[in-house]
Amino acid sequence: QEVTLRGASMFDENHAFTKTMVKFAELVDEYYDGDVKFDLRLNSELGVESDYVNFLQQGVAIDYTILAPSNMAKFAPSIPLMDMPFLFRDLDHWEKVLSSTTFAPLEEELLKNADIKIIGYTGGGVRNLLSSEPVVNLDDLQGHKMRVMGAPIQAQIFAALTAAPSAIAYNEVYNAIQSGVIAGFENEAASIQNLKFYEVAPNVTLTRHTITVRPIVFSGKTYRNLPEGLQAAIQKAGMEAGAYGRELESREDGLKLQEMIDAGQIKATEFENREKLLEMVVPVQDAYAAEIGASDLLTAIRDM
Amino acid sequence: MIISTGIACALLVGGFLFLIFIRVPVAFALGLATIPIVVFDVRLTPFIIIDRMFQSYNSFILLAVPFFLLAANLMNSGQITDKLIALARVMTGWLPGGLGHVNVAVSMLFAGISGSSTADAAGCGKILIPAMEKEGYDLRFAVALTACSSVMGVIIPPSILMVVWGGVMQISVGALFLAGAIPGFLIGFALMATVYVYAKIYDYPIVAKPTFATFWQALKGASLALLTPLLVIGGIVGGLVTPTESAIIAAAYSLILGVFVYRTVTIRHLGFIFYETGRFASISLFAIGTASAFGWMLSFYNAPRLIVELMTTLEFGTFGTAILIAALFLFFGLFIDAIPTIIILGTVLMPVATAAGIDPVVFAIIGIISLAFGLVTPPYGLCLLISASIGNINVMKVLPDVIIILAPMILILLLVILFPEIALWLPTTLMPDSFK
Amino acid sequence: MFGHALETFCHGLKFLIGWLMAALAIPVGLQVLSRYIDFIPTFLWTEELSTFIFIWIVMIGSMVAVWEGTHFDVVITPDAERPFMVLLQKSVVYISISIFAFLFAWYGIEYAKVGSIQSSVMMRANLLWIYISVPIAGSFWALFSFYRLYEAVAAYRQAVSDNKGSTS
Ligand code: NA
Ligand code: NA
Repeated sequence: QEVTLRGASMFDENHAFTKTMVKFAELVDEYYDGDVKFDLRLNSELGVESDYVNFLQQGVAIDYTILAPSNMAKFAPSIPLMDMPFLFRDLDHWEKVLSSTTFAPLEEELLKNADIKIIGYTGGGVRNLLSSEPVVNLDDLQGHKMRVMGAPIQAQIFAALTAAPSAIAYNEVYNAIQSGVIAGFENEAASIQNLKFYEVAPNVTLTRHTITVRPIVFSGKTYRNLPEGLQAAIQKAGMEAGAYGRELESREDGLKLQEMIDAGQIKATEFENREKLLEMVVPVQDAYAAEIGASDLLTAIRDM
Repeated sequence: MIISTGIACALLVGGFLFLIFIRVPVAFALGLATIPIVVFDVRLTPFIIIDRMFQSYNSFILLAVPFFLLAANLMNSGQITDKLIALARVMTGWLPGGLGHVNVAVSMLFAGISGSSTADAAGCGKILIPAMEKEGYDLRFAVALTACSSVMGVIIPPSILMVVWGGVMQISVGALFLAGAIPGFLIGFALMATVYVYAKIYDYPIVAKPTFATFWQALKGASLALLTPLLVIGGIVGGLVTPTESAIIAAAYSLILGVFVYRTVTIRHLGFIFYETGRFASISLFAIGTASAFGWMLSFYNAPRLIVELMTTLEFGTFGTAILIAALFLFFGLFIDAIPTIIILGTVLMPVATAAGIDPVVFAIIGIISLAFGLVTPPYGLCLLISASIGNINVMKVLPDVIIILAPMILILLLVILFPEIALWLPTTLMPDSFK
Repeated sequence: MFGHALETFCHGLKFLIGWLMAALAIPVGLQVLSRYIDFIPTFLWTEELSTFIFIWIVMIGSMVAVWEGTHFDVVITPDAERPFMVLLQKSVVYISISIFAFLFAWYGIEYAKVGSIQSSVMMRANLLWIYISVPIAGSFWALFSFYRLYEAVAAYRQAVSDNKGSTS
């Protein structure tokens, strides 16, 4: 009996997420003997990431996708720990954690609460500050009105850095910066380029505060109904597609940033005394981990 | 069973039209039409209908709808509308067909303050339709003119539709506001020309020639109300508020005028205004929910992608594509509300417009003007329904006059398509940064 | 008697809409103010709370509009004149609405359960408080459209008996 698995991407065929999901499909096809077809829907045709979470939880409309952890926080509050700012020291540390089983407790929580299976990890975008006026040191950052992602930990971290985090819906960010309602926000190169945020916020401060973690997720309901051979192929392909996606995205991220610099679209500056930021966030990170009962996990990640 | 694209679209569109025909409310018809699909297609369940509906309300941008309505309702209750009518009287009442011009002029003033057309039709219609009838105007003309002039509400800034459009498609709302101003005024002048011709044919009277004293009096009376557009547009361009939040500025200012300055709005009133706003907003927003579910189903079966592919292979060129886009928006506007049409159709046509070399801002203005005209075209034209009910007359009887009055307005739409500079000049001059 | 109770209930709903609408201004207003007035902390939950109130306004508003028959419909066909055709014209509408209403009520219970295992990100409020509006709205649409159907049938009976009275 033939199986069709449907995936969804918010982006076009050139985006790293889309390429990773295409790779995933190729790998499943390779590792599975039976017939399996894939139908990958692009360009937010079926909605945005926060919509996909509900679809996967119910096992309707789509079977797999790639999600930012914050979108799953309404089911599993500890998931945003995965890409908490300043969690990873550098790309090597990040790669080491993602290619291990460190996040297993978070995966269990997600599966139990939302019936969503994490089958691999991609990501690798480096998030930096973007602003209309340059923000290069702690003085500039003090009281800096910036939009943060809608998870409490994000607001707590930037508040601890003395910035003034603000609540603005993502689809109002462009207009809010242009008019000066907020002075900036934080994002990764691919989004800055795709959504043309550089038009309103051309100053990029290389805080490198987050290296993104983007789980490749599969609907638990669909997964259980699949033949065992296919399940195994999906697990194996998910892991490998994740590694492929990580390499791809972290390579592209640097290239995209450089492209925008070369095109004169953005002006990139280092943050003076970045080490100071690392010290300032530790108490907030500790408190957050303690609150969600993940202190051991945080220690394990830091010690890797 | 897995349903093919053709069958799915036939079921959705056919089902919707049938339900409309048997008088099922539009909001429910949109939802009901999706049911056969989720029953027959193994990949979908009713969860998806509910979820798509429900999640569509989960959008901060849509908050502009109740707040702009609230501002307009406060203006109507707080005699702000009366002051605007008084000003319009001295400005245009001396022309042949005086009250007709007043009707158009007050809609232009109202449009500059409010982001909603329906509130204009209701507020100004209540005063002007009876007044026009009393002075010997044909009731059908009065009703049609009230409806047609109210569409400027969403074309002249501020505008609910522009806030939604800018948010859904990542376009500067400030630029859209500025782009709508000139086409909006042109539509106003086209309307006045029509009134002039009517007045000559039917010998409609002038109101009175104003003296400088009466003019000054009226201007002073309306001056505080006329500050609203400065606050709203200034608030956005000056960076105090996001476009969505600007609606609450308009509402707060109208509240202050009504309660403290003019003292025409009492607490009792206020309760009723809040209720009336919530009631009316929820009716249109509810339809947005079912329309989103309906639109999602069309996407699920690839319908939009096929339309886009068809349109790009046909290669109509810039002008042809723009005409086709306007025609599609006008057609959708016959049957459904403007906001769901933006969500269903606008997002699909965006890549088509870009491929045809139409500037996103011009595309938006073409779409919004076309959708605004949908407000007066039956079967589903809210402004026409509202003004017809004020005049207590059947919509179909008003239709010939609506068509006559709309014709010059459609000419303006064609002008904007032919000469996009009409829309682009103001934003490119004042906000050059948005057009790098 | 029952109709009177429903009428009173809807009157209560109208009050609720008015209050919710007034309440909606608070989080949105605070959100704006907090950016400009230093002693007001920046509220990240304002957007969440305003969306919640907003959803309830829409759902309650949709219920009242079913009761009052103010959801917009499109009149293409002429109004029926014979009593039976009047009944037919009305009942297809009420039955159609109640089909959708039943779907909403029945699957809405499942939907509310999905809501109950989620909590909002900023306020950590259980989303059951929001999702429950789906089955509630569905149930009342069904109830209200049934009552209107019942009234239409009663009006039809009345018209038929009047007719008999006048011709005999
Ligand atoms: Na306006
Ligand atoms: Na229409």
